[in-house]
Amino acid sequence: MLKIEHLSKNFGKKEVLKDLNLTVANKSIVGLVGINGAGKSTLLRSIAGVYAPEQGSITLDGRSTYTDMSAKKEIAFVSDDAYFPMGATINSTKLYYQCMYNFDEAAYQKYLNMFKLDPKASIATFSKGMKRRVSLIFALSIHAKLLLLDEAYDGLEPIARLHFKNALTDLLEDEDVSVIISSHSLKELEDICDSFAMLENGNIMTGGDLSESKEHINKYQLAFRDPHTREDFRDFDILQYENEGQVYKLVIRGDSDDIEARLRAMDPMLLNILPVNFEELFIYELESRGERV
Amino acid sequence: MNKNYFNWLIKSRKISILFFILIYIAFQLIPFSTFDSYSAKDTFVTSANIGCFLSMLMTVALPVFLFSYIHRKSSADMFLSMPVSRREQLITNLVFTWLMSYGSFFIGTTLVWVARTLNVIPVRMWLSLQVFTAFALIVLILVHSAVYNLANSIFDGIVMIGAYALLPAIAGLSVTSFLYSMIAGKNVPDDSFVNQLGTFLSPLAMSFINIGAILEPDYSDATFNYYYLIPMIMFAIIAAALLKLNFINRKAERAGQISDNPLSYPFIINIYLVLILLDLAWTVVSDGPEDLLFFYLLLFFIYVISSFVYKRTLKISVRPIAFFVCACILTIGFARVGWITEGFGLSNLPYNLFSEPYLYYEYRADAKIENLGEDTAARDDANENAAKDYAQVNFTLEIPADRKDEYKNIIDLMEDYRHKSKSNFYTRDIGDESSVYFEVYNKMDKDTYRYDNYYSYSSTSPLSEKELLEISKYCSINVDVYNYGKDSDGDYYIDDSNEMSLTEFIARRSSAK
Repeated sequence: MLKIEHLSKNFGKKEVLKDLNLTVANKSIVGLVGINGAGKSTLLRSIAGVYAPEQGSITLDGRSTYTDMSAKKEIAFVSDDAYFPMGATINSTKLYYQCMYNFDEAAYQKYLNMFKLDPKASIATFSKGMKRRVSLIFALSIHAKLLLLDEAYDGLEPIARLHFKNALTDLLEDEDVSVIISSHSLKELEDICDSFAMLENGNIMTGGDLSESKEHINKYQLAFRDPHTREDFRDFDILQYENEGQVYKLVIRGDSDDIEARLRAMDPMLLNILPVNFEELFIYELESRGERV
Repeated sequence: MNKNYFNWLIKSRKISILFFILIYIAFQLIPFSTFDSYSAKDTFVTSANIGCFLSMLMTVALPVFLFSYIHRKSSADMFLSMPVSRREQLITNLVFTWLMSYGSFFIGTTLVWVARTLNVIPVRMWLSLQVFTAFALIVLILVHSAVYNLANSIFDGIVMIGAYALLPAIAGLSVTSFLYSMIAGKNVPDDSFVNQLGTFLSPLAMSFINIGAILEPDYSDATFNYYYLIPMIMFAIIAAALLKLNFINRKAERAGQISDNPLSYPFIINIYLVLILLDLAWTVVSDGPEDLLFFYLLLFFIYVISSFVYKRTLKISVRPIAFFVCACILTIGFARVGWITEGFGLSNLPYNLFSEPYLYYEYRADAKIENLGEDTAARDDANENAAKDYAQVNFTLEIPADRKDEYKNIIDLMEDYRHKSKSNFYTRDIGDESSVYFEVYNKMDKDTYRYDNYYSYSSTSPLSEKELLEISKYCSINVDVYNYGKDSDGDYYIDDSNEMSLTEFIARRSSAK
C-alpha cells in the first residue's frame, strides 16, 4: 500500500505540493488528474524518489520511497519524457533493467511481441508513441509493486492503448500491484481506473472511488411551469446551473434518490436524471472549485 | 559502491572501454617508434607523460559523461528513480572513473616498463610514480566531479571545469603582476606562499610538478614536494564535501535550471573580475592609467556578456554594473595601499646575500656616450629626435662566498646602489622610463643555469662613471657603442655596435674630444 502523508514540495519559493495526503490500496488503479501545472508530474516524481519531499513522507508498504532502495526496486516509473542513452536499442536498454530491477525475461518477451517493436533498432529513430511503448514494456516486465505512469497514453495509438489496458488488467489479476496513471485523456482513464485523485494547486481537491463519485454527481434536466431562479435550488450542492426558458439543467452532488425526491417535491413538468462521465466529473468539480475560489 | 550499477556501467560500455584502453596504450607506445637503448629512460618518461596527460584528461571527460544525467530532467528521472542510493551512485561513478584513468595508466606504464625499460627505470621510481599518480588521480577526479556538479546543465558544468582549471593561472598572473608592479626588486622567495599561490590553488599543477619530479629528478626545477600533499588532500576533502552537498543532497529539480549555486557562475564571474581588476590596478597605480582604459571597457563588456550567459537573458540590471564600479574603485584603492606600504612590506623582507656559494650582480644600462652615468631611452626608435648614438654598459660581477672579505668594498657599493634602486622605484614619477636592468642572484656553482634569490631592479638611474671604474677593478665591464646612420631614404637605422672595455671606451672618448 502506498501512503502519502502531509507531503509538501517547493521549487524555490513556489509551493508545488501542499500538505498532500493520499493512500493507494493494493491492486487498485488510480487516475491522477488535474489541469496543467497542478503538480501531477511532481507528485509522481516524488513518489518515484526522484524529488526529495520537503515535508511529510511517502511510503510503500511502510518503506520510504526516497531512502529505502528495496522500496525503489519495486517502483516502475514511466516519466512523461522518457530518457534513452544515445544509440540505445531495446536490447541495450534491457541490460539496465536486468542489472537494476527484478527483470522477468518471459514477461518482457510477451510485451515485446504485444507492442510489436524491433529490439535491435535504435530507439532514437522511434516515434514518440513507440518510445512510450518501450518504456511501458520495461515497466511491465520488472514485477513492480507500484507502477507510476506519467501521461501514460501520450502518443499511443488506439490499438496500442487497447493492448496496454489489457496488459494492465492482466497484471492486476496476476500480481499484487498498484498503479497510478496521470493522463489528460480522462475517457481512457475512466475505462481502467477504479479510483481517482484530482489535483489542484498542489493538493488533492477530491478523489476516491470513481464509480461512487460518478454516482454521487448527476445531471438533472428539469422543466417548470413557473419561472425559477438559482436561489430556489439553494439547498442543493449545485456544481453547474443552466437555464433556457422553462428548462433547467443542473449538475448536483449528492445522493441521487434523495435529490430526485426533493426535486419532484418542487413539482417539475419534466425530470430526467443523466449520469456524468469522468471528464464531466472533472470539469464540474473544477468549475465548482472555481466558483468557490 | 553498488555492484549492480557498477556491472551495468561496465557491461553497457564494454566495447567502448576496451577500445579506449587499446587506444590509450597505443598512444603510450608511440615513443617506441624511435626507440634506442641509449635513450630508453627518455622513452619511458615520454610514454609515462603521455599516460599522465591522457589520464588527467579522463578525470575531466569521465565525470562529465557519468554525471550528466543529473543535468537533464529526463535522465534524472531514470537514474534518480533507480534503486541505487545517491551515495552509492556517487561512489560507483568515482570508482569507475578512477579505475578507467588509473587502470589505463597502470597497464600502459607497466607494459612499457616491463617490455623495454626494466633495466633503466628503478623499481623505486616506478613504484613512486604509480603511488603518486594513483593518489593524484583520486584528487583530480573528486575535484572535477565536484566542480561539474556545481552546475545545473552540461554546458555550464563544462564551463565550470574550464573556469576552475584556469582560475589558479589567473591568480598566479595577478601575483606576478603584483610582484612586478609593487615590489622593488620583484623578489619574493620562490618557495613563499605568495609566489606559489597559483600552484597551491591548482591540484593539476601540483600533480604535474610532482610527477615531473619523479620522472626527471635531474632536469626538473623542483624536487618532489611532499608539502603539496597537504593542499591536495584538502582539495579532496573540500571536493568530497561539495559532492555530498551537490550530488547526494542535490535537488533533482535543479536539472536544466540556471546555474545559480553560489560557487558556480556567481563566484566564478566575480572572482575572475576581481583578479583581473587587481591585475590592472597594480599597473594603474605603479605606471599610470594610460592605455588601460580600453582594457577596463573590454573587461566590462566581458563581464556583462558573462552575466548574460549565466542568467540566459539579455536583461541588464543595475546590481552587476554597481558591483563592477565598486570593484574597480576597491581594487585601485587596495593597490594604492600596496604602493604606499611598499608592496605590503614585502619589498623590505630581509635577504641573505650568500644563501648559495656564489653571489652575482648583473647590470645593463643604455647610457649617454658623453656621460655613462646618464640614462637614455634612445635605442630602437629610429626617429630624428631620438636617434642619438648611445652606449650600452653591461657587466656581471661574480663574488664567491668564500672570498667575500676581499670583495667587501664592492659589495658595499653594490648594496648602496641596490638600496638606491629600491628607493627610486617608489619615488619615481609615473611615466618615467629607465633603460637600466640591475639583477642580483645566487648560484650553487658557476656553471649551473639555476639561480636562487633572484632580484631584478628597474626604474633606477645608471651607475656613475666613477662607480663603474671602481667595479671594473673586480670584473670586466663591456661598453657597446651604437651609432645611428641614415639610409638613402633619409630614415635612421642603427649601425653595428662597437664593443669595447670600459677603459678603452673612456680612452677613445677622450681622444675624440
